[in-house]
Amino acid sequence: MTDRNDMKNINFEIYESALLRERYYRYTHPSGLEIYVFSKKLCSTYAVLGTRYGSIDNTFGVEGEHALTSVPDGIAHFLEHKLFANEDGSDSFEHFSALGADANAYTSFNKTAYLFSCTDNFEASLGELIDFVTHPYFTEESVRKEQGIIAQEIKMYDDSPAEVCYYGMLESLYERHSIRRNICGSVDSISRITPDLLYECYRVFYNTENMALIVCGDVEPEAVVRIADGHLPRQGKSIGIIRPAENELEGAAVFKSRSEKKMKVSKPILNIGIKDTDIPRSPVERLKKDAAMSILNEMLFARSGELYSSLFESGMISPEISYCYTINDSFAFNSIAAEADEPEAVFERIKAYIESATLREEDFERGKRVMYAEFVKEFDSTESIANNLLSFIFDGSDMLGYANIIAGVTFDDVKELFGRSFKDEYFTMSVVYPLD
Amino acid sequence: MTPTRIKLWDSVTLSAIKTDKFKTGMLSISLAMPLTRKLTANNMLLSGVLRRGSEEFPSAALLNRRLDELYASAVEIKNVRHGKTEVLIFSADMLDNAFVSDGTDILDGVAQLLAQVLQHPLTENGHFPAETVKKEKIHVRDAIKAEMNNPKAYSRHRCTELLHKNDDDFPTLESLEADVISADELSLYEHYKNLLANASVDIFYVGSESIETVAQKIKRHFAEFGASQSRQISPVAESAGELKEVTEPFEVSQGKLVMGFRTGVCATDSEYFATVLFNEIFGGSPASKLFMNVRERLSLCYYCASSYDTYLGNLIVSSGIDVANFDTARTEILAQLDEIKQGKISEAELVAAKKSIAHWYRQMYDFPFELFAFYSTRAMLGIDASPEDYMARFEAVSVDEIVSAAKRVTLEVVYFLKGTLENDGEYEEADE
Repeated sequence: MTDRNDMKNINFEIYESALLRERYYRYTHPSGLEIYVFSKKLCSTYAVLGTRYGSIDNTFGVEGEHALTSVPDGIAHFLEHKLFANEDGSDSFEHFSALGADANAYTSFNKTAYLFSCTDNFEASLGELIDFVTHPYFTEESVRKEQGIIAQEIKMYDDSPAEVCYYGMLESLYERHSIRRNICGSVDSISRITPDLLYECYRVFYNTENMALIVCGDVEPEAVVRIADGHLPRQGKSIGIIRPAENELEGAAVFKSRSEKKMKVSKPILNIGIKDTDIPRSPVERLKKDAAMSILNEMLFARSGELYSSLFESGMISPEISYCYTINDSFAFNSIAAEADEPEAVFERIKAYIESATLREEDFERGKRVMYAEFVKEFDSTESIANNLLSFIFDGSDMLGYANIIAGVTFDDVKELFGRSFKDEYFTMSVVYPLD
Repeated sequence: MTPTRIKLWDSVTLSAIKTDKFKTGMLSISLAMPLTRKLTANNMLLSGVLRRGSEEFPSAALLNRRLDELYASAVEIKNVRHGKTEVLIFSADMLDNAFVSDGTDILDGVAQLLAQVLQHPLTENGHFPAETVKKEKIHVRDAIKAEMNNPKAYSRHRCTELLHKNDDDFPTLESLEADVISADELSLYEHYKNLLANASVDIFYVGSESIETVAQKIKRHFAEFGASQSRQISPVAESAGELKEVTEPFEVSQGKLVMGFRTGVCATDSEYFATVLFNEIFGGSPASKLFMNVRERLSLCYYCASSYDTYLGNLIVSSGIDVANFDTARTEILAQLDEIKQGKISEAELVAAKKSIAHWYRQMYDFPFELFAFYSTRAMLGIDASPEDYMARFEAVSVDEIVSAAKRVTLEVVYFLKGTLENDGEYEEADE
């Protein structure tokens, strides 16, 4: 490492929270890769290397090269699978196994992440993670094989009523936004994927400036940077990725008010979607909106609330219900999932409740307390810390600041949000009914 | 991080691990009973009924509101089966008091709420309210029927049922539904009384409080309960019966091949360690023979994995495949088993399997619920050992011992959930 003297003095930016008693460090490597180290005295160390590239990025341009062009759906996910294969014929899963590390990867709408958890051999495991992600190797043969594997993955999801119902909701919420397309693509779209396409998407989206490395565990930030430096390129290649402003192309109203399918289910399952195209440009403002909406959801939909009680006590829904607000720079929506004999009646009841509800300060305080506690509880696992930190970073925010953002939300903020977020034309429902 | 123990009452022990590592704590109360067909259905109903309110918090909404006040403490009541014993576990995870500024004693509140749920349920005329039981019967029946919504879980369940074909105590989906239908407010209350009086009770805590403090809070809120003697599990591995092959047509597109094997070895046997390593090498990880061959080499599936039931000695291989590939997949799974039986285990596979197990035991210290599961099941099995003791035992296993374990593995069930929905043409093309 004699040629790497510049590593001697590593300047970290430090983020900390006295309330949470946590801190993390940020460093930008000469390659452009942002490295974050979250110190945590737990037994397992978790590392995740992610790129701002998900299923919605199937249409993109490159500054100075080409305007927007489209590639087959599911290519980001396909790439995620294929990166584990190495040029020497080995598979990185085997390398991690030899080190005793537990490796995996996932692709979401807006990011792809490669990760491992280990209790030993951290240095070699981190090296392996960076090496395999930075060394793509695709052949006609290996692409063909992967098409068979992913076709089975797609069929598995196609047979999952919960999955089908959720996508039915997205397809109804959005007319054009690529979030309505399946993360894995379709059997047809993946059959059009070639090594050349994979290399091109890799070149554009896997440049180190578009990526971030997070390590969470009982490790020294300097040590992480030194290990990473031994496996990273000296310089990054700047690539100006052009992403279509998909949210701006969407109308505020839902595309369709219903999606209905029939599958092998015992009783109907439903997903209600509430569209939100009002996405603040500033990351902090988005975070504030996220906190306020999450508190509002607790006030409206929690098991301790009036709506759930009336649906549950009257037998209209099964006990399990889930609700979630999602927001990032490209899309935002609220969703509620449940199981019910009469989905239409449940839908009407929920809309009528929201229409006539009067928000109470007492419920606001309760919602806030729940959100705060749920957030703090996330800090007991290196896995959840690292993955949450990656999401916050990719959305341009500081994770530790979120507790204060929750604390800063006022009852007036929530009332104001409530007044404008639940118009009738924002609602859609997807139902999977039993077969005849 | 080993638990200390205190006797709360004659037969009830509190085990506690005091640690400042976490921002959360966990408290659990386990009630173990020998498995019978009716026990599972009754436990399922009971967990729903008890969540519908107590004397102090007389509705589900009020119970949930109290949990919210206790900083989103979460209470879960679940049924866990260890071979021929079933444990109804009431567990709570909660924020540590150090992270709240208003002086709320969360642990005390949680102990009180658990005592309410377990010992002070709502009753009318000396039994559970009829209306509540009626509603809960509908929910539990719905939940049993909803198994089919998840073909992967459903097919595994069906294979397990076939492995228990001659076991009258094993609840099938069909018997569960019948037992739920026949239960009523009187029979369920009878079950509840019997459980409180005769179950073997174990209480476990992980968090920042001392065991004395935890004991004091529990005794403040709970009246003595549980059997006068604690019961232990004595698992006995089932031996293999004749081969059963069942194909069930199902209106989905993908086929699910699930194969049930007998290993003849369970958690208290000396060959246990070799059998766990065998499972790891066979289909327990992404570096296993099933993953590397059935998925990676032949691209027949997205998942093909094995899991080992350490209480009964059953091993289940499960894979989602194209219906037309049934024979190929089945043949390949058996061929991979034969490879191991013939001693074809590389040094790399052995090392990887041992490291994977060691990693599992070391990371356990990061997860309070895993520590609870480990120590409470060891206590039930009558084994006094730490995760480190286990790691050492695994480390000492030789290839020959793994091969011997593999040789004992016998196929008993081949269950095929045959997808009947048409494949689209493109799919056929992509799978060439």
